[in-house]
Amino acid sequence: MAGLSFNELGPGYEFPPSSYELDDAIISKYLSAVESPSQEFIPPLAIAAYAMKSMIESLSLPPGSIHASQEFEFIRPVSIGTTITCNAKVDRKIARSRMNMLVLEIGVFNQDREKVQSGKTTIVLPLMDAND
Amino acid sequence: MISNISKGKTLPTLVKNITQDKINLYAEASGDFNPIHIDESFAAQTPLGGTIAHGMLILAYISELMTQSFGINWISGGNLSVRFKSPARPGDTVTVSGVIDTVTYENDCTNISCTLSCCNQKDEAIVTGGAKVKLHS
Repeated sequence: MAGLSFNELGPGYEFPPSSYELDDAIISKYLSAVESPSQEFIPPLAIAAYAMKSMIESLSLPPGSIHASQEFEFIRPVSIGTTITCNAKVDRKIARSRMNMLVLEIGVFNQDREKVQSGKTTIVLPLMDAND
Repeated sequence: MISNISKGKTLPTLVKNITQDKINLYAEASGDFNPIHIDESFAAQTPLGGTIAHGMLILAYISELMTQSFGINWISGGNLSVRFKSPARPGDTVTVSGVIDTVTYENDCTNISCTLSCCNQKDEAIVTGGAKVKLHS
């Protein structure tokens, strides 16, 4: 499925939620990639990476788009084997003369529907033609 | 965990070498296969002139520093707010550092705010920002 472009998104748009089981194999691969030692709980940025993945897969970003800023609040620890559900929505959409900006909100929940993490992502998109 | 928490205390520095292999490994682990990270011929044709590391990989290093410094208090109750200033590229050595700005006490909690930075070997800022963490006594 093709992702949504900047023009197709509006403030308040909610991306389809997605769920992942963060099992030992997934987290081991992540820890290896970030050269981090094994820990009692899943690194919060591993959870964030999966939340971002689900959001980015729903977007069609033009080449040259830049991850400009990021905020996170880590609320609860998450153990290996937890199934997380990631929700994301468009918080703000800013059109400027030389670029567009998207501010996206992320919420991550565990299988008990407790919020474990929230975040706000700002992406700067280069201007494309009017149909993008 | 760091001890003797006070204003001005520096957090233990973390140094990481960025390689294309590590970027590729992160792409596999995170599922972010944006060609700007992994396709060297594509990236060479863009204004960036070559591949760059995922911003979230750099944030993983910052989070590792905070976890080393504050343990579970970071994982459960930490706040991070950062800006990406310039890309990290294969061949770069990035140094993640932090310093405690303020320490305040409220009921049975110690509230700490830190300034964080991640710089390359030329001392150019890659990420700047801050973090807050609450220690429960």
